[in-house]
Amino acid sequence: MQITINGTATTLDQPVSIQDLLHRLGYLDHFVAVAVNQSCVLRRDFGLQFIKADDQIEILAPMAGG
Amino acid sequence: MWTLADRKIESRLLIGTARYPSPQVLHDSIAASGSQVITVSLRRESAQENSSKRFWGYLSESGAHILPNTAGCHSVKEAVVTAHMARDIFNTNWIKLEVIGNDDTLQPDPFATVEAARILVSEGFEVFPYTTDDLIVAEKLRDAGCRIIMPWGAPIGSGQGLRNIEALKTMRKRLPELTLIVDAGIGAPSHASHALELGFDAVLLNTAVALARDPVGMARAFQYAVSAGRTAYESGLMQASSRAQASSPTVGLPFWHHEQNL
Repeated sequence: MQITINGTATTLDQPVSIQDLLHRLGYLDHFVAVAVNQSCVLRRDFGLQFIKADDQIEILAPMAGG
Repeated sequence: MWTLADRKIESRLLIGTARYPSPQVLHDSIAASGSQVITVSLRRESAQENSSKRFWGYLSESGAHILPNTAGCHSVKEAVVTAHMARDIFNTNWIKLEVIGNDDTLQPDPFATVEAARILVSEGFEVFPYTTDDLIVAEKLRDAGCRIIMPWGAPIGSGQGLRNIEALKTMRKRLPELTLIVDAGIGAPSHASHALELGFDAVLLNTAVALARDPVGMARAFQYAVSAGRTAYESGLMQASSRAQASSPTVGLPFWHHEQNL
């Protein structure tokens, strides 16, 4: 299925949880926040919420800011 | 000590974390500023980078309160979602609300800012809205439930100082119950001192320190300026006068002054 991660189209061969997706992508030890289709997914729910086809996923991390 | 939201802090200088020449200079500048509140943002990061982890490590060491921002958001929806993500990752209900209305001036969109503030306050956030020096917008933000308002001194990163002092004075006078923080446009320690002299509770700045030739030295200068400005405000500034008034006593002047008048 086709999804979009941080603006880039990506293909997944099977449904996965957000936690699994982060592991697959290499975000294992990253400190990140995630939104799916413009809704925040709480970190405690990363293992519970599954990605669906056409989901738009944003993976954000702390950065310098004013 | 003073109270910001529900927290007792000493420093009246809030400082941003962007544009420093190195993480070490950032770290040392925060320490030199004496600031206890630092702003951060959320941005996309690829799995290969992981620079945020080092960045977050530096910030955690500072022990300062984290004030996440919604910088770069252009709509209510973007700002609200970013605030939700910030609350989850930083474990704080504080949010510096920025909804930009113009990319050239980085002027806030007042309508979207008020709407987003209303939503976020209802969800339990302590909203620090970045706005202009417009009194009516500030009153709408207060009515939306904001206890803190952050009017600009001048456009973000411009270093122009307080461009509309009368508007800022009016806002201070008309909204005595609110915490008012001048955010954006501060370019020199004298600008920060002036804002505090006017009765503003604090200033938030970034670029003036980060782009100084010596950011650590400039951070220290801002610490002194903010402290001086607040002390001056509490001490009561004299009234300005259009006429000169001799500071030395006129009684008992030496004889030659009397001879001149004969």
